[in-house]
Amino acid sequence: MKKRMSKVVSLLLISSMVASMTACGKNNGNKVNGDTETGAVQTDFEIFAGISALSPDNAEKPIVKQMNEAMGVTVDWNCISGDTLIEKKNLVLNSGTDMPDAFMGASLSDYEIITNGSNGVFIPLENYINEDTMPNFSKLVAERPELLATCTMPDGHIYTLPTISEMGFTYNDGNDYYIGAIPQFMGINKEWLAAVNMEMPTTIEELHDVLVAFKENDCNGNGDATDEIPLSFEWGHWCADMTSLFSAFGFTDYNADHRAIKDGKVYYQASSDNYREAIKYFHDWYAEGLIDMEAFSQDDSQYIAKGSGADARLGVFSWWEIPEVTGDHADEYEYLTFLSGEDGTIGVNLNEQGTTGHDRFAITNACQNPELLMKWIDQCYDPVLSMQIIYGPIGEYFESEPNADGVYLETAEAGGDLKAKTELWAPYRQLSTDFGTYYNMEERAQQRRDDLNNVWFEKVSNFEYYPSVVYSLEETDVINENLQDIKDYTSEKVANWLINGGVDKEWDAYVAQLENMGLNDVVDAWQSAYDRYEKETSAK
Amino acid sequence: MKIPGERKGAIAHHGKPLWKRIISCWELYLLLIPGIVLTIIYKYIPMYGVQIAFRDYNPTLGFSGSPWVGLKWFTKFFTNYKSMEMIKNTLLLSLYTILWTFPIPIIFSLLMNQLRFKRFKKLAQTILYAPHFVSIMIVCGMLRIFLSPYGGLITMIASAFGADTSIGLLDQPGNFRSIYIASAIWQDAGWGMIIYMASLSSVDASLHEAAKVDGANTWKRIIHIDLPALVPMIMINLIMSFGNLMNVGFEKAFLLQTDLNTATSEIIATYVYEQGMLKSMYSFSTAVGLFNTAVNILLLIVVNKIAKKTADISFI
Repeated sequence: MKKRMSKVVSLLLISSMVASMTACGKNNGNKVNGDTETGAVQTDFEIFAGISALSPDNAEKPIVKQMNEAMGVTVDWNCISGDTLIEKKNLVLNSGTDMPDAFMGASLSDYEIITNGSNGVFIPLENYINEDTMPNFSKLVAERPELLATCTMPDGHIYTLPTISEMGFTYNDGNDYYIGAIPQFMGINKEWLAAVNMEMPTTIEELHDVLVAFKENDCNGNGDATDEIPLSFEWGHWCADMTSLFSAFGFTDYNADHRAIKDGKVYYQASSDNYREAIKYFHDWYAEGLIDMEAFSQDDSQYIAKGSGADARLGVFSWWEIPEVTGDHADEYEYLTFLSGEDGTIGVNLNEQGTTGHDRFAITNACQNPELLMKWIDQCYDPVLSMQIIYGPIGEYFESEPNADGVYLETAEAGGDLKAKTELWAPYRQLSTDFGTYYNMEERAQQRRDDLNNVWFEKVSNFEYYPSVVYSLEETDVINENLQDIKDYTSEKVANWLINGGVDKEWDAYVAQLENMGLNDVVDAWQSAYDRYEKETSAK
Repeated sequence: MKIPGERKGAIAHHGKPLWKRIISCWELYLLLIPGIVLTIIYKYIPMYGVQIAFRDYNPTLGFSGSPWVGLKWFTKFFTNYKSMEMIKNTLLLSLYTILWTFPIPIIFSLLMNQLRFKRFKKLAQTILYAPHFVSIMIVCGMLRIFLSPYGGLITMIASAFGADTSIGLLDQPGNFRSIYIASAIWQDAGWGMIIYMASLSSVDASLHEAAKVDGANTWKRIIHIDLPALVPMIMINLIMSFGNLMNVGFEKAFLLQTDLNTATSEIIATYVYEQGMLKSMYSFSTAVGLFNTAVNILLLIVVNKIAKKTADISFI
């Protein structure tokens, strides 16, 4: 009987294998047929696209309709927003079947670009970059010749098209700085300061005393002395974290990878001695109840709800600007710039600056007419179309007609969350010369630029930062394999130390564990990519 | 599956060749076919993909074309600083969940069976199993609100009883399992009770009458009549829940996870999700998932053996 059973099983296995094989055969057959039917005149494209959470499907956007009509193209969109974007993108990229013709705004990482490029999933685009196929992009490249290098992968191919956003300013040292150079602006409630009769703090100890006073008093005067939150932030958030306060310990830690550089030497900020001192110090604040209990778990909406409620509840907070978090209370707040330590220490590490990106557009091997698709996407590099891609369409976000100087002005509805509803995640150009020529810089961005220039840069003494380098394949492998675990470990440990203390006791074991996890290899990869970059730029 | 009391040789055709037995009751086998086909398509054919646990999966090369790397991913998992903690968390969370959630439906059904007022019984039953239909997303959302350090209902009650609320209750790793299990009891105990109620309703009323005549009180009758009637169902349920032991509710653990409670809330399933779905390390997460399954099968066999020894019930 056993023998018979095994026969039955093997029969079943064979029949299922045959079935799956014929299924494969069928798929291939379809593909071949598809090829001959559409041939080289494919005008219908399927695009996997990331969109902002508030945005409607790309197909409904006026700019997209305009682009399609101009090129005689129809696009079948697969638009994904929010948290599921990464998940869906991974599944589509790795399923090996049903590949769309292109990925747009899908936040492709360098690792994905390199591996899918060398796999043959993404096709090299450099052959299409010429006057005929891409007139607008060629114009841009003529103005910014270095742009092509930023999107060329270590194997010498271009798999993704670049974006450029030169929103920055020229500081008094003659160099240009990016608007995100200091992402975390601290704000302090000056009315509360007046209520507790204290001066604007300049050292970390003075701030400590102010926070204690905020905690003990009914600063917002609503009769409840317990609803004041002296210091709130979002741990690990790009603009809402508290690391601007670390300046009193000689550094700030804006980079999500904790990457820092001094005198050309790259290191991991979260394993430095300064870092340990800072964590040890701020644990005392937590123990005294000066730090928001939800600082390690809240999200943006909870954070903003605290800041903009009926009564002001935040004493000191961090964000990229004041009004977005504090709403109607914005007038009560003022910047709290970098503080110094008791011994006069003050240090700031600027955020890594980049005006370029290259994660917005890639074409896959499923596309049979890449040339037309490239012609289609080239329209994005037209300055006026770029403007509408970044913000929103003429007639909605911008006035229907430009003013006498040819500049499109924003409509009354612009600002707020309209941009998130009307923008298109596609490649674009935003050159410094585009401001004032085609459109003006957003008011909030102007404000931020001026604040950086006039207020925040004043206490910066070290202007060194890690540039936008291109990693080799080996470096990418090392970083991709180890860095995420290292960062997770750091985040978990540091949050734990801030809350429960014990950093001195566990520090050596922590550093040893980081090395064990391959931190030195990652830092070496950062360093070698940097050295190569320096050599190349100094050669020019 | 063997049913207790089944007589050896009860099937008339015992001893005949397999195909003859199939032909003699072909209708039953015909009914079986859809189930077998579905199981093969959805459970067995996908197992073909498990091989990527031993390969460096590359979508263009496919499952069988990707380079063979042997035990590389398993080594990576076991040398990870978190692996032991995750295995421990998974096992403890599952064991505690079974320990606490398993007896409660049995107790509920025994008590409910004693209720004399039909209407009240119906009402109580409905109230008890209604939470089962609330989506897990909503349950976790409610928990997060109730456990908020600022004015959360549970936080306020807990602090009135002197609990330490200087850190959010959900953010304290020590609380994670209790929150997870208590909410599981609230949500599913009433639902789990239904199957036991059905078994109890089939208990012969004459047994109870005879016991009453012999002077047995309610307690005695529960112990000696109702409970023995439930034993086969209890054992089957126990084996089934051990079958799912290592697959403890991923969604719930994931939704209740905060950066601060990962010391107890990071279980293998959440890790597999993060590595596979979010970081697209498919080979690695398949290897971890495969390990999880292997442990699960081992546990299932052990529990099955124990059940066979103690109550003569087994699945395999």
